[in-house]
Order: sequence, then structure tokens, then C-alpha cells
Amino acid sequence: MMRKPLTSSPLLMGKLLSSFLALGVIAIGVSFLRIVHGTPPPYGAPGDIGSATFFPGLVALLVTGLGVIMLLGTWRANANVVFERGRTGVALIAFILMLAMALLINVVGIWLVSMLAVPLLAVCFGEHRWYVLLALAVVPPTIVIHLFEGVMGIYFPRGMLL
Amino acid sequence: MIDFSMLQQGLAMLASPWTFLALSAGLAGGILIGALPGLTATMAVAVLAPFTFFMDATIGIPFLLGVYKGAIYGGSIPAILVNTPGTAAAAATAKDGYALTQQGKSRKALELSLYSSVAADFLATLVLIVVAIPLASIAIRFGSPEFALLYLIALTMIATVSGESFLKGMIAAGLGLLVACVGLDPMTGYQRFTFGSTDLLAGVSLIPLLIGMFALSEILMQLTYPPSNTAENSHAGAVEHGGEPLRWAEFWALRPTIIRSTTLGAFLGSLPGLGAEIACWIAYGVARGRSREPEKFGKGSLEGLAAAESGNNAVVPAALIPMTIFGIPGDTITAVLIGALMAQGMMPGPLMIQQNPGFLFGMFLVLLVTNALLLGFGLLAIRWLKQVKRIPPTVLYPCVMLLCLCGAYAVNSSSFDLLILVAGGGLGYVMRRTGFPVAPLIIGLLLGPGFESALRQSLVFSNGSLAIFWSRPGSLILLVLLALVIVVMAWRGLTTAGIIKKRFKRLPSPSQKH
Repeated sequence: MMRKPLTSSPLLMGKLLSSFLALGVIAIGVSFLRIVHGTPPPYGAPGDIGSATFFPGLVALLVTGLGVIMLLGTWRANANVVFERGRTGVALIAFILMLAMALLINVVGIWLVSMLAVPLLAVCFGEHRWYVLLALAVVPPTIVIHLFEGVMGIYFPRGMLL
Repeated sequence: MIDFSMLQQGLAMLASPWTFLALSAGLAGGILIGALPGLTATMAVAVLAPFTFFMDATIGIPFLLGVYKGAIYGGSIPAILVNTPGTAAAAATAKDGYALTQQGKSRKALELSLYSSVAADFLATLVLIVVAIPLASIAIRFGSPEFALLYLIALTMIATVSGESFLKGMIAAGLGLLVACVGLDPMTGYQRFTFGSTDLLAGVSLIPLLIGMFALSEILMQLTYPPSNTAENSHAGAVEHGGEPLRWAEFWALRPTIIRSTTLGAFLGSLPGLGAEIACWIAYGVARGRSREPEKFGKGSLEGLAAAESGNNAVVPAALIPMTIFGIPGDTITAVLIGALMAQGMMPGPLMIQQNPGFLFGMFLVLLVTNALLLGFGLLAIRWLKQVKRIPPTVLYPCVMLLCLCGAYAVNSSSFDLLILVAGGGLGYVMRRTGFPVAPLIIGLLLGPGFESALRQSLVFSNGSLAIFWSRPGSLILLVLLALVIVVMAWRGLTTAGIIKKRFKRLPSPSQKH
């Protein structure tokens, strides 16, 4: 499939996105640096080799510096920063589904989570036949959960509902 | 260094029917997963790794090695039959393999792919055995400064070769090192970046993060860019499979190509960061350059197919060289293998050589036996796996997601690990969409604790003096090597960015001066 650029003005959009990424990297580096420098001695003395913050301080400084270089590099005249367009919205929905699955497993239990999440992800992939969705809601969870619980002895949360 | 007890332990591991069964199951599963387009070899090993935590290491690790080898080989089947590489490592195979299928020679292509893979794998395993044991005796003498430099070389190489951008690779490696800092400080035991959470005391769980970054992100990528039904692929079913078998004379004539590609694959595989995906193209390109019939490449050349398959399969044993000797992963799959070994209570590297030499030797023997099994399973797969592409993604990926969820939970029976899984999936997806390589982050995370300990120990020994990194012969050699790697990579980066070219243009030429 031919991947399309993100917008009609791909270079500008690419530069903006790249700048956001660079700012994100800088933000991560600065956050770690703040924690490192906010840690009281004797553990928090970034200049001292024996201190717990020596190595993280060094790496955070490196990451921040590299983020700044990335930000400056993005706005060079001949920088090629074009991102490809795709079905980001569908991927985002699937990601939210995965996150909900992880958050709800203790509350609703493995059975309900897997019986809902598996067919819902299939819907994201474009499956609409009800009998396929029904089969997906029953067969894979039954096999996989029994494999883990019966063979490997791993017991999943049953949730408050069961 | 080889003594009788080591041989005995290795043979005992090999003789166990459970090891044999696990190896066979791993190979069969690996070939099946590798043959499914969209499921990568890394994903296969990451998703199946949690199953091994409940097995003895002598069973679990051969299982994963079987998956690794099987998946790399399995990728060639759909590449040849339907022009859809099962794994990225089989991309070069598709060029000549599918052309042969279109000519009605799919049987010949599949058999050549299998025999080249087995031959390359066998030769590269011999290289691993020959190289690993003498190198191990050197690695045991390494001290903290040498290890610190070795980790730095590995990180620099991985950051520069695994993606298109040197800068993004370095940032990814840096982020991996930062994530590795989460948890207890290895020297003082102080809590770092845990935000008061007891779940983070032992650091970020490696296996859930790996599954998330490789498997969940792949599912999200498949949703973003669904596989297209191009005219070529939709007509693939109409191509008649079969044709004449590969003749011995044809295979024998290809031995220089196979040996050359195996040598290249083994060399590239032993360097950190260069996986089968890169080796197959380099071997293919070199074979084309040395061929008497380069015009046939891409149009059904047996030489091209043999080169691509030997190149990618030779990487598998070679990638175990840095892993077993120095504890440095050769590629992303060996990074997952290191995680599995650590979960078994083993630390790859010189310590493993000292503490578990029998296991290590057994692993080498297992690799040799896998080749014989691969031949048998490969012949079966050629016959039965032609239909595998028919499994729709609507069924395949939801099942993979469920396996990811259960596998990540199984590591520590912790629902916090599921959050790490999903966070890893999201991070992996963002990185892949924005051109950040994932491998440096993972390898940074894996090497982080060792690198930190080695660096701080060296500096403590020298009272903070950096001279420790050039005052010892071993560390001096490694420092020169590091400098060379940085110069070469920086030159490549500056040339790619056009900065060096511009500078040369600005310099007035001798004719302009006068």
C-alpha cells in the first residue's frame, strides 16, 4: 500500500511533529534531571560517583542535550521530516481498548475482559460477521485461559463479578 | 577449557526427551508463526517466553531457540509462495523466491530455501562453538573498565545501525538507559524514580515491556497500515504450486554463494545491532555483485535465493556469540532470550560461562541438533503450510493480543505488569510511527544496570580518574575501537545529512584560488 503523507503540507507538519517529539524528549530529560538534583545527599549528589544519582544524572543530561540537537536539526533548511498518514484513529481506539483491558482485569476478571476485548479488537480490524465475533469471544479465551491455568498453574483475577 | 564434566552435562541436557520435545515444539511453533505474515520472529519469541518460566532452563531455553530458528526459516515460505515475507528477514527471499513460483518452480524454491537455511545455520553454529570458547577465556579476564567500554561500544553501534537516524538511535538508547535506572540503585540500594510504588522497586518488568514493544505495537501498526490486497497477492493463489524438485547438482553448484553468504551473515550477526533483516540484503547484494549472471537476480535466480536465505539464517547462531560471552544482545531476539535466561536465574556473560559451562555447552549441542530437526520440520512445512496465509488478521491479531495479556500477567502474576505491557505497546507504536528505532531502547534497558555498575566501579577504583580507561591494555584496545566506531558513524551521519558535502563545496578548489 502506498503510504500517504500526513497532511497537504507534509514538510511543515512533519517539522511541527518532530519539534513536539524533540520537546517531549527534552521534557523527559529535564524531569529526570529535576528529580536527580532534587534528591537530598548523600544519595543525591550527581557529581559524586558513589551517589545513586550519578549515572541517571549523566544519562538525563545526555538525553536532554540530544533532544535539543533534534529540535535544532528539525528546523534546518534541508531537514527531511515527513511522517506517513495511516489509520491512527483506529489504532488509538485499539490502544484505549488495551488500556481498559489492563485497568479492568482486577475488577471484571479475566473471562469478561477477554470475552469482550478479543471480539472488539476483531471489529477494529474490520470483522463484522456476528458468528465470527461470537466464536472469537468464546474459543480463544477458553483455550488460552485453560492453557495458562490448567497447564502452567497461573491463575488470573476472577474479578468482583464472579 | 572443555572438560569431561562439561561435555557430560551438555550431553545429558541433549539426551533428555523433554529437551527434545521442547525443541521440536519450539521449531514447529516458530515455523508456523514465522509463516504468518505480520508476526515477526521477535514477536514470536517475546510472546512465547513467559511459557518457559515454568519449565527448567534445560527445557525452556531450547524451546525458545527452536522458536527463533523456526520463525526465521518459516518467514521464507509465504515469501516464496505468495510474495509476502512472513518476517522482515525474509524480504530478500521474496524477490527471487516468488519469481520462481511464478515460473512454476515453487517446489525447487522452497527446497533450496530450506537446504540453504540448514547449511548456513549448521556452519554458523560451528563458528559459534569455535569462537565462543576461546573468546570466553578472554572475557573472564575482563574487569569493570573493559566491560564499561564494551557496553558503550555495543550501545553506540546499536544506536547507529538499527535505524535511519543516528540521533534518534542515540536518543532511544538514552531513554532505555533512563528506564533502566528505575528501581533500586545497584550500589547503594537507594530507591530511584519509583514514585513510592512498590511495583517499581525491582525496576520496570522486562518481559511485559518487551511483549508490549514488539507484539502490541505490531498489532497497532497492522491496524494503522492494514495489509493490502494488491493484484499480485490476490493472484498468488492462482499460481500453481509444485514443479520439479531441486537437483543435487544445482545445490552443489551454489556452495560458494552459500559459504560466502554464511560468512557474511555470521560476521554481521556477531556484531551488536545487526540482525537477520540487514544480513539478508547485504548477502543478497554481495552475491549479485559476484555473480556471473547478475541480470537474473530478482527474476528467479537460485543464487539470489540461496544468498538471502543463507545470510539471514547464519545470523541466528552468530547473534548468540556476544550474548553468551559478554551478555550483550546481538539483536532484539537475543535481547528477549537474555530476559528469559535472567528469569531462569542465569546471567549471560562471563559469569554464565563460569557457573553454567555444562548448560552453555548443552545449548551449543542443541543448536546443532536443531539443524537436523529443521530439515525434517521444514520438509513437512513445505507440504502443509501453503494455506497458512489464509488465516485472516481479524482472527489472528485478537488471539495474539490475548496471548500477550496472559503472557505478561504470568511473569509476576501482577496486574501492574499489564500496565507496563500497554505502556510498552503505546511507546513502541509511537516510536515506530515517528522513525525512532525500538532496538536501542530495549538494549539500553538491558545493558543499563551492567553499564552503570561497570562505569561506577571503574571510577571508584580509580578515585574518579578517567585514566583507568586507557591505562590497561584491554581497555585501551576497546577505547580505540570505540573511537573508531564513533568516527565512522559520525562520518556516515554527517555525510547522510549533507553537512560534509557542503563544507567541501565551500572550500575553494585549486583552480578557483588561482
